[in-house]
Amino acid sequence: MGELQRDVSLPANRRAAVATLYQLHQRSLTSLAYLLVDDVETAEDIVQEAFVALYRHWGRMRDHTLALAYLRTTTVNMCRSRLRHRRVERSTTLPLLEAEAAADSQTLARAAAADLIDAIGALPRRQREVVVLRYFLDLSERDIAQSLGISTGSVKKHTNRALSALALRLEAWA
Amino acid sequence: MTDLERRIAEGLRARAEEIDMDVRTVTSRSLELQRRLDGVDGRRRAGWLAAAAGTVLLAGAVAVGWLVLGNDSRVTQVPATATVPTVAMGHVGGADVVVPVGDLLWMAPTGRSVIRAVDPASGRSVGELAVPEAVTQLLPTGSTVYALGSSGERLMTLRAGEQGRPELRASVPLEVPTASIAVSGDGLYGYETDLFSGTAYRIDPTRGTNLGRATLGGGDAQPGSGQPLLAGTPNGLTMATATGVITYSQALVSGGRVDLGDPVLAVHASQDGRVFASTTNAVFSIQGKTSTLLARIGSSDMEWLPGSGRLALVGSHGPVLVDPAARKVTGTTAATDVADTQHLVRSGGELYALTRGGELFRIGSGLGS
Repeated sequence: MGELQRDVSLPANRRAAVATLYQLHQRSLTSLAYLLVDDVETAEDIVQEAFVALYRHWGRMRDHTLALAYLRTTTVNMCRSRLRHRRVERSTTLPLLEAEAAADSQTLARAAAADLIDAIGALPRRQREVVVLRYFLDLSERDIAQSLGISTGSVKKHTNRALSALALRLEAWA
Repeated sequence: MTDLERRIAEGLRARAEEIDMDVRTVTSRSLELQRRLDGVDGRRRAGWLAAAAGTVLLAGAVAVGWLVLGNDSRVTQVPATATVPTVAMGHVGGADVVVPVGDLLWMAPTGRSVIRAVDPASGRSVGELAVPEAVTQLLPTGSTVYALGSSGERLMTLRAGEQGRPELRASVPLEVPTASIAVSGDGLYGYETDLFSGTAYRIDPTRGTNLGRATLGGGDAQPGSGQPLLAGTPNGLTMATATGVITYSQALVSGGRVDLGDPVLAVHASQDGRVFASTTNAVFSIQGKTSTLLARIGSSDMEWLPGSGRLALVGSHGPVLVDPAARKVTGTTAATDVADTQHLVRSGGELYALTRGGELFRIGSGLGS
């Protein structure tokens, strides 16, 4: 689910190639966008925009095996732009689960998962992007660096800071 | 993977699975995308026709030539009047950006937070400066060189220090995330990284703050690898967009739009005030609201050569020289080594090509004087 398929030979025709990529990766990219903007409709719109941008960009791409990386980068950039456009910080929008009468193990597990998502949502933007790319898409540090246009050193730094912040936050809630 | 990392991965997966994309949604979105792709194709054709019609209205005689040239893809096969020699200067490393500063070339290596100074005459690196983040654009202006961080959120100010090596003078966060920077008149301007707004703004380079902005329209630009999307002349700004439109302004007042019919890859302003734009299919000179087709060659980079009155382009087989007055290709390179040219740069009276593999070549002799 989290990992995008990479080794797919694409048709030579631009339209067919973009359609193939859409079929293969639209769902995963929408999930990625959803985790960054926290709104399904916006996430779907962003992914549509990313594919349209890829279609426009196709003729000047020298290496079409990088199309997926382009889509990923465009999706992350568009999420960032859309959040900026709204002029609101992504807040901890996932409502905590309503307290149930019996604190059974399932309820506790769900509440803990919600806490974790809240904590990820509260991370600074760059740390949140790194966490989602690393732990949802399972990308390597190199691929994350390429997607975000930063060095692998910065990826490590943001990952470490994010993990420290999440550990502290979850410890405080425990 | 630690327990925390495993919990994060599981939590994100569970969260993503909340998206309920039923067949109807998927079908509807697929159809929507098809319509939008049709729209891209249609707009490109319409833009092309609009550009031709506009040119006809502006100048009949020129328009005839334009249309003939525009309709004839064989123009790129015009026999070159000269085969331009190339000289390998050595491996200097790949770079997103390369600009001349004094006698040296300053380069921003891809994905690394450093700026490297290279002596093009020897092909040797003479120094490397660590900077706060990787650089997506270098903008030399007088004794100051501005560097735009690849996040679009940091502006660095540099100067040439001892033996021309880069020195970092300031690094400030940008109030407005920025895709490209340019100097016009005495001001530094930015092209806002907002895919929907197409907005230019004036930057206070000492603080990174926004001193005023104007929405010029035609956004949706995709920053390329180090190719400026914003060009400044003493009189105004020119912005490239992915939809084939050039917008230009004076002092942040919209001056107009020129539809080039294809996505614009880069804009280039020369010191003598000439503006060129390259699209995926052609290169144009831009004057006010008029575009003149120079060659049906899609080019990722351009360099105006005032001494020879030629425009150097990056064609599919390497550097190409075009005579803008005659609108003809006048020179090509025969060496296959330069087919992968990414950047052209003029330094010390010479024209250089930097390939994607990081090899530096001198093109011709004295072409950049």
